[in-house]
Amino acid sequence: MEQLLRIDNIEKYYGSRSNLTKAVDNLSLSVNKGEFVAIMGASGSGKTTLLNCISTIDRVSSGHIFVGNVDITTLRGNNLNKFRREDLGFIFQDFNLLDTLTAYENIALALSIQNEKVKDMKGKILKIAVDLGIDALLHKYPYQLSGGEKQRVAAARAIITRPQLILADEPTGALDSKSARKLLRTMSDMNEKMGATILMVTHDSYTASYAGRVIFIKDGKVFHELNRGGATRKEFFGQIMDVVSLLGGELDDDI
Amino acid sequence: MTTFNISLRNMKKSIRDYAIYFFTLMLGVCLFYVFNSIETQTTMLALSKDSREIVKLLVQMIGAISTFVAFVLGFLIIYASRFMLKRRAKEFALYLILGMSKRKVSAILFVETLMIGFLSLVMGLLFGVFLSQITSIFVGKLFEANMTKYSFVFSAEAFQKTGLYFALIFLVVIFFNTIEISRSKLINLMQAKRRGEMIRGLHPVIAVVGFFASIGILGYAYYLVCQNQENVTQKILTTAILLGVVGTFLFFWTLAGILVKFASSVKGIYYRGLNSFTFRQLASQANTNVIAMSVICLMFFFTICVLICSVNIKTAINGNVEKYAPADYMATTREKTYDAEKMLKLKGDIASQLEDSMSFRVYSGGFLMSMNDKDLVVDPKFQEIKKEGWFSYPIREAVDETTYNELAKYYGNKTIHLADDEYTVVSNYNFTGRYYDQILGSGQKLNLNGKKELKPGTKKHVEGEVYISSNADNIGIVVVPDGYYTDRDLEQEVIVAKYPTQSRKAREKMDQKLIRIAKKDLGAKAAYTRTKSEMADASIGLSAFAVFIALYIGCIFLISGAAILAIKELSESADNRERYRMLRKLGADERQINRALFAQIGIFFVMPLALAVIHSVPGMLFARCILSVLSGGSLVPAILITIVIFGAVYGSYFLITYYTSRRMVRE
Repeated sequence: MEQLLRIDNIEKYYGSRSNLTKAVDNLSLSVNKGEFVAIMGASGSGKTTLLNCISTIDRVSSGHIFVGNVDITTLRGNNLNKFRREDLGFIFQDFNLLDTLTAYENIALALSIQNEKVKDMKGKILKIAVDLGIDALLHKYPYQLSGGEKQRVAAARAIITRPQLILADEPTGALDSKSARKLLRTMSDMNEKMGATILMVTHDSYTASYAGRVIFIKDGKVFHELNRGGATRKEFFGQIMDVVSLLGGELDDDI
Repeated sequence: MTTFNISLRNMKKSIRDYAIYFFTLMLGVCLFYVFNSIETQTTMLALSKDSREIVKLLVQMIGAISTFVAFVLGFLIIYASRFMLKRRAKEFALYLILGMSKRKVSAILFVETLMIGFLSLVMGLLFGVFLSQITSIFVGKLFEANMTKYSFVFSAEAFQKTGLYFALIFLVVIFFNTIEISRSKLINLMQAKRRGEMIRGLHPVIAVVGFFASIGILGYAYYLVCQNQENVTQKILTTAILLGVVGTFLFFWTLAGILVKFASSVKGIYYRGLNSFTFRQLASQANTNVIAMSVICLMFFFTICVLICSVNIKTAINGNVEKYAPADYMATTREKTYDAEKMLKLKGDIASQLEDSMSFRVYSGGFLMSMNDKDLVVDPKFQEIKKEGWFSYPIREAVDETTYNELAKYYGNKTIHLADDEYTVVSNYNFTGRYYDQILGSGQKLNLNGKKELKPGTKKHVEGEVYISSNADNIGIVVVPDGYYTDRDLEQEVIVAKYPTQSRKAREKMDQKLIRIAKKDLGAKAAYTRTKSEMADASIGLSAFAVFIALYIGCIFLISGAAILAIKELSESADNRERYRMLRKLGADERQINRALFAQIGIFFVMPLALAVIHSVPGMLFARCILSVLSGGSLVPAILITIVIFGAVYGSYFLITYYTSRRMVRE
C-alpha cells in the first residue's frame, strides 16, 4: 500500500517557556492511500490540534508531516494555499456552507477557487451529486436543507476537487442519529467506490465504527490502534467500545 | 481597574475600528469650522463695500444652514455609534456577565465617547484652521480682492460655535448610548451574531420586468427634460422628477435580481475564482439596502448638479459683466418719474464731467408674448392671454432705429437697417430669443399702440444690449422706424457713459461722484443708476454666495452618503467574517479574498454614484438651458472640481472601509 500521509514525531506546545502545555506530544502515525481512518480522543486529547496541523491551519512546534513526498511543515504563503486548495478537502462539524450560494454554487466554488474550466464543472458536479444522492437538492439554498443534507453537500464539495486527502472534523457532531448514519454511509461510499482517503476526527464510537482503522489519542500521544480487518461494523463497534471503556468511560466532553 | 483605565484600553484596542467614526466626526468638525469662519477670513481682504454687505449676508445664511448641518451630522454620529455598539456587543455582554452594572458599562462608554469626541474635535479643528488658510485665499480670489497682506486666520467665534454644537451632539450621542445599553438584554448581546439570513429575492421574472421598466421610466424622464427643453412646463418638470425618483427606487429594488440573473448566465465569469461568492454578496446587500442606496443616489445627483452649476456660475458671471455692460455708467429715472427739464440738467452736468457719454429715448409700446401648449401668442395690447403656459413675457419698451444704431455704435454692436414699415426685436436672452425668431420668421405683423401695421424687418432677433447689465437679461426691446412713436409715447431718457480711466480706485471715485450728481439733479427718489463696478461686485458676490452655499451643502450631503454606505458595508463585513474564514479553509488565497472584498465594496460604493452621474447628465443639460448664466463657458473646470471633491471625500471613505473590512475579515 502506498503511504499518503506520514506524521513524524510532531509536537505542538502552547503557552510560554515557563508554563508549557503540550497539546501534541511526540506523535507519529501514517495513513495509506485509500484508507478511511478515524482518530478518537476525549476533548483536550489533542485530536483537533493534530487535525489543524495536518490541514496547515496551525503550525507544528517540531517534527514533520509528509503528504505524498511533500513536507507540508515547510510550505509557506501561496504554496500553502495551493496545497490546501488542491490536495485537501474539508468536512466541518458546522457544515460551513455559504448561505448566500445554492448547493450547486457551493460545490462549484471549490472548483472555481482552483480556476477549473467552467465547461467541465457541470458534468463533474452532476456526477458527484448523483453518486451522493443530492442531485435533487442542487438548486436549493442552505437554509432550505436539513443538517444531513447540508453535510452531504459539504462532502460533495470536499471530494469534487479530487483531493489526495479528505479531513473531516466531527462530521456527525451536529446531526441527529438518522442523518448521521446516512452521512457515514455516504463517506464509506466515497472511500470504497471513489477511492477517497479520509481522515476523520471524532469522539463518537458509533461514528468511528464506520472507519477501517481507529487510532486512539490520549494526552497528545497515540494510545491504541484498532484495525477492522474482516470484522463487521457491529463487531468493530464492540471492539471500539472496549478500548473506550479502557480509556476511562465515555469520550465525551463532560469527563 | 478604574472606568477610565478600561475605557483607555478599549480605545487603544479598537482605535482602528473607530476609524470611520473618527473620520466622519473630524470631517464634520473641520467643515463646520471652515464655513463658519468665513467672516474672519474676509477681514484681511481689501473688499469693496458692496462685497462686505454680501459677506454679511453669506455669514447669516451659513449660520442658518449650520443648524441643519448640525442635525445631519448629529444623526450620522448617532448612526455610527450604534454600529460601534453592535460591533462590541459581546464585549459589553462580558462586562455584564462579570457582574458589572449597566450604569458602569454606560460610564465606560461615556468616557470612550468623550475621549474619541475630544480627539476628533481637536484634530478636526486643527485641520479646519489649516484648511481655512487655504480657503481664505480662495475667498480672496472669488471676491477678486487684493490680498494686501497675508495674515494667519483664526476665528474664535467659529471655534466656540463648533465646540458648542459638537458638545451638544456628543451629549445626544451619550444619551442614546445610555438608553441603548440600559434597554439591551444580555442574551441579545451575547448572540449579536446574525442568524442565518433568509434570502428572499424577487422572482426573476419580476426582477427582469421591473429592471427594464425602471430603465424605461428613467429614459422617459430624461427624454422629458432633454427633448422638450424649449417648452418644459412646471408640470412636465414635476413629472420628470417624480419619474426619476420612482425609476431610481425601482432600479435599486430590482438590481439584485438582475445582477444574479445576468452574472450567473455568463458562466465563464460567474464561476471564476470567488466571483460567484462576490456577486451573491453584492446581491444580498443590494437587496437589503434598496432605500438607502436610492436616497444616497438622489443625494449625490443633487450634489453633483449643485456643485457643477455653482462653480460654473462663478466663471460665467465674471465674464458676463465685461460682455453685457459695454459702458461704465448708466442713469435714468424710475418708472413714471420722467421729467424732461431735470434730465436735460443731468445731461449737461455729466457732459461737464465726462467727454464720452450719450443719451437715448425709450418709448413705451411693445407687445405681450406668451406660450400656450403649442402656439406662440402675440398680443400688442397687453391684454391677458388666457391660457397660461410656461412663460408669458411682456415687452414693454421700444426704441427707434436711429437711436438703436447710435447706441450699437457706442457699445460696439452691429447696426441694423429697417424700412418704414418694419420692426425687429433686440435681445440677448437665449431663452426668449428663440421665440422672437419664431415670431419674426413667421412674418407676424404688429400694430403697436394702435398705430400703423409693421412687418418684421429681420428673419431673426438682433443680438444686443440697450441697458447695461451684469447678465444676459435683455429679454427684448422692440426697434421701430424713426418717427413711429412721438413724444406722447416717451417713457424715459437714459444716459450712458464711459470712463477714461480703468484703475479700480479712480473708477469707484467716479461712480460715487456721478451717482451723487444723478441724485441731486433728478431727486433721490427718482434717480436710478447702474455702474459697471457695482454690478461686477454684486455679481461676484452672487457667484461667491452660490459657490459657498453649494460647497457647504454639497460636502455635507457627500459626507452623509459616504458615511452611511461605509457603515453599512462595515457592518456587512463584520457579519461576513465567518464566510471569509470558510473561504480561507477552502484554500482561497489572501489575494483572491482581498480581490473579492475590494470588488464587493467597490461595486457597492460605485453603484449609487454611477446612477447619480448618469442622472446628472440630463440634469445638467436642463439646468444649462434654464439658467442662461450657465450657457456661456465650458463646464469642464466645474466638472473637474466636482470630481476632485468627490474623489477626495468618497475615495477616503472607500479606502477606510476597505482596509477596516480587510482587517475585520482577517480576525
